[in-house]
Amino acid sequence: MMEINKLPYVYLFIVFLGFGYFKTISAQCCSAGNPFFYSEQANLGYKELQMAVGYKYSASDTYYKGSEKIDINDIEKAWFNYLNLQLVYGLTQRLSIQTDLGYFINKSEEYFKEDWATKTGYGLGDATLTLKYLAFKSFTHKYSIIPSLGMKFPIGVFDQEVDNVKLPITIQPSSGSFRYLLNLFVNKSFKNPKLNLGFYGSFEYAQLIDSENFYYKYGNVYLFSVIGSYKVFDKINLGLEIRNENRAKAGRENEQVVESSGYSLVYTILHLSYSISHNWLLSVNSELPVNKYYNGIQLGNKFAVAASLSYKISFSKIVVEEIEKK
Amino acid sequence: MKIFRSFYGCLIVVAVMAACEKEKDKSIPSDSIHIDSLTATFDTVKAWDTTTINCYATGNNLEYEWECDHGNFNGSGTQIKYAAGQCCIGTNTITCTISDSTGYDEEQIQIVVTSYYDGNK
Repeated sequence: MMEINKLPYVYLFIVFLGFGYFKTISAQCCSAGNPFFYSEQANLGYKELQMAVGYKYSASDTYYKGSEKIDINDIEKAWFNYLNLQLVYGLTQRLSIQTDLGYFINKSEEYFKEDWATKTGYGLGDATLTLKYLAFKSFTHKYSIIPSLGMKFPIGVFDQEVDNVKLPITIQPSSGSFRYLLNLFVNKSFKNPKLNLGFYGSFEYAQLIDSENFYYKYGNVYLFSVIGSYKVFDKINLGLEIRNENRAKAGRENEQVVESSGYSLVYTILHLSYSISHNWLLSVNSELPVNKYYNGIQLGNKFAVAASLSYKISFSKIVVEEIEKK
Repeated sequence: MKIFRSFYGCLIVVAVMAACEKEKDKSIPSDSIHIDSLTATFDTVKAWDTTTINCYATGNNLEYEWECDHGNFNGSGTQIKYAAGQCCIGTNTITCTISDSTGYDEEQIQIVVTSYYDGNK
């Protein structure tokens, strides 16, 4: 077992490693926004630490006008490979702090037009800092309410260019502006300990992007999600999530509304998690949009798959164990 | 606990500093290089249609840089293709910057992108 006094330094080392890498990338170019990445919503206990490394792949290849498919000879395929580093720490029994760092291995667009070359953006996306508070917990009724506040920092480089030509905003890795998050998570467990139900609601406000090259304000996002999970085997949990994601229309210079922006989507998401050991958890999920409505004409999401590996440790338990040993 | 508080304090400061990092400095305007004209084959295009933009400049060993506030490019150098989707309807500004060791010069051209359902090109 690792000595307790060394663990915080290991934690810091991992974070600084990620941060240092980001700074290197950001010196080369810029960024355009992390995708939604499913993560731990529950509050951690006092002095509990959870580290998670995640991966997400998403692909799009069809244009939609409202809910209908439409043939547009522009982007043949758009896809990204994304990494997420997440750290959650229980500051008190009720208050947890969470950091997320996003990194795009690639964010690419391939075109129908023969002479148009495939474009790829890459690099660090945004960093998110979230404070979660266990506002209410009922042991008798088996539910808890956890509101949280977050802020996304556009630490990745924006205005990325290739061969002295700026990449379009759609493949810039960072969002280019601060974003503010307000979330609510309600968790309900039952007499049957294998069953669990969660509700998640989130509101995101995006500040205006006013960079050297872009003047653009993404619409606000309203996200609602219900997830039910069942422990099918001793170490395996299976979950089904229904998520509704709504984005308002964007705005550009001269208070012009971008009519072909904003959407309302319903996803079904299958979750599968495997407890490798008491501390280690492997999770995979697949996102499939089942109901889509895009304002105007837009390229729609086709599917996404994600995986994450997390490690949880309790420093307070280690302290007790150390004392007991002595 | 103190070390975690200090760390998160530093993280916030560094993140804010990185986010507020100033844009890169451009070199000084040059008198020895000059953009003579910046022209487009079409000043008005339908969404997703293409227009070709040419930059004619005076100077040797010039570096050409292209940027637009909305839309997408293909190519590089003195000639570039520009197209924008339905998301970018409106008057969009394309900027061409030339530079060499003496400094830079830049010109802008505006391209009007109309709806995919409009007939004009």
